[in-house]
Amino acid sequence: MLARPTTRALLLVAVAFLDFNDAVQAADLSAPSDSTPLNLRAPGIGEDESAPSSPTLVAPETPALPRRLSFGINDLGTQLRWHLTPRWATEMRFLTGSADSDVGTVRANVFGLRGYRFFSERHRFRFYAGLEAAYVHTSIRSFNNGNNPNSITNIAGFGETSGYAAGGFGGVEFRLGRRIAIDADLGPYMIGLQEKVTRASDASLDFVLNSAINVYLF
Amino acid sequence: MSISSNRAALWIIAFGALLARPAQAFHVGLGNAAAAEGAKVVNKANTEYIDSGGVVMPALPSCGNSRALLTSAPVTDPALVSFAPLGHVFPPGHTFPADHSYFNFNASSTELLGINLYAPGDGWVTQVTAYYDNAKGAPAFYNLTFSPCAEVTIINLSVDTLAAALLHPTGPSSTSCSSNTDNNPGVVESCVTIMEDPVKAGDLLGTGGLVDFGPVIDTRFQISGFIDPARHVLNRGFCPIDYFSPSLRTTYTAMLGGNNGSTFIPRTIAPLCGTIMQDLAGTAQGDWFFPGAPYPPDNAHLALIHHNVDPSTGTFSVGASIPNFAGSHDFSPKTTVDGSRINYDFSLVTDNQIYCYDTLLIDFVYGAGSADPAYAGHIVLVQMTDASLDTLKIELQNPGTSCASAAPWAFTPAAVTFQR
Repeated sequence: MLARPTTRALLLVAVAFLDFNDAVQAADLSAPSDSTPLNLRAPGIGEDESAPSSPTLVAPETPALPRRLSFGINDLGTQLRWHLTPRWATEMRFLTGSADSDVGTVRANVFGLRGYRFFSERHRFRFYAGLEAAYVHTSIRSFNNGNNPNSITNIAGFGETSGYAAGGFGGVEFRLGRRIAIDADLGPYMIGLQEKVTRASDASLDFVLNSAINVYLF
Repeated sequence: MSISSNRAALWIIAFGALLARPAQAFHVGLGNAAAAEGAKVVNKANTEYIDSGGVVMPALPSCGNSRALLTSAPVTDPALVSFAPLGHVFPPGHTFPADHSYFNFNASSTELLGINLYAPGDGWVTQVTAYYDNAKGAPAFYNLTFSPCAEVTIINLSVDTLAAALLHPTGPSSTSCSSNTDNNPGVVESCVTIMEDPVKAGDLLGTGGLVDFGPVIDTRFQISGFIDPARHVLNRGFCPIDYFSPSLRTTYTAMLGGNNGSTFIPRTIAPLCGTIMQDLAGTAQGDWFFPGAPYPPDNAHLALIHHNVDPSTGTFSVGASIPNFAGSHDFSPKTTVDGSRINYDFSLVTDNQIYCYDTLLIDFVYGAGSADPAYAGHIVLVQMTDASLDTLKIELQNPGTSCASAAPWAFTPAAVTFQR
């Protein structure tokens, strides 16, 4: 699976390598070199090279950090974030998870949509806050009905649940390199699910820690 | 600006943490949080609902540790004389000791039609099976299943007419019909309605046709002692009298036995309510299975047991596998070893020698039976043939004389072998 720790580590190494190259290029671009002529034009002066003016030093334009689209790996899933503006972003994400129940292992698939408000970056840290709404579907991998002929697990389709997760979060993103960042956030989520066969349902407020590795593509 | 923004972000995070204080759990990853909630819902559904014959029904409340769950008389008619102890045999359908009691009445067939069956306690009627002698007619009779709580079920409560309240169950129900007759003579079709209709103690369930009282299924307990427990349903066949409140239990215990009309014949040997488990390891006593035949039903098998009303009487309960010997045949066993190996109690048959039985009696039904003229001059040979005493050979022979005169005994190829 994509989100296995080994896969994550390999991806992290690959991205770090690319990011290092980018950083070197950026450093090359931002540092004045002997081959880069200085622009000594006076600001606001036209194209007339013959016009006299006092010289002004203008550094060449530094490439902007890629901040528009990022692909990420989160807790047992993936995500795609799109910055609408430098401060506002939206994100689609898919997560999986598992938990033990009395009748077998429950496997969850979560399809979420997040909205972010980012704050100013200081020392490579950017705080953020946001809201998330998600569709949740769970199913049971292997049933154990204890050989009870009256167990509800004998009914076909039992164990599938579906519902929602909604919550708010606040966290911080830390830029490791030019293209790569890690983030972690924490927040209360209301998760409500209903079982398909019995219509049994439950909703509860849980405290969820989310984390991700993001690669900014551009 | 950036400092104040970050402060604002910290405040938002802190506020979120405050909001989350009533949160029930902490999870790493929304996927795991969702799975945990899914597990919670599944556990809840598994606790609150059951599969009742393929129909989803709310689970009944647990019985807890209580056995005194029945608080009301199921029959108030004075014609009720006795309750049959467990272990009645009526081959081939009941070759092994029956796992239920019976209502025994002193009433004419017409009077029996008017006897009411009432709910023996607060609970639920969870199944009604209608049996039809004619596919297009009215049901000939009904079998009810009653549960006072989740773990205890009383099945096979039969009535000729069903109480109106049960004809149209109020809760979820499902009816399916088939050609299954449950071995009831004359029945051509049955319709099973799964339901969960609440009843109060004393509510009318139906009228007429009362026969069986039980079996009682109690999933909290298991019947022990069978030589091969895997062959048996261990949570079925408990004494129904034990499930009544103390005063009714005392009353009904005094009614355990048989009757000949109004004459009550009490069982006097413990356990007074009888037992379905009579296996005795290392002896010939107990249930014997015909190799390869299914169980249930009892039809092909053999039980060498004691009578349910008078346990001092020995009984050959023979299914269909021994030629000319099907049925229930009583005898008066010797209870001490005298070296003859004739008419020994089955509990005294403990080795690989041949044992002989004669003087078979007419079944003990309305009192002790006399010699059965149909088996005059017949003998029954019994031998456990292997070292572990788990294989039994048996044969009915007709030498025209007694065991003593027919000695030395020997089996013929007509002998039939059974296994534990």
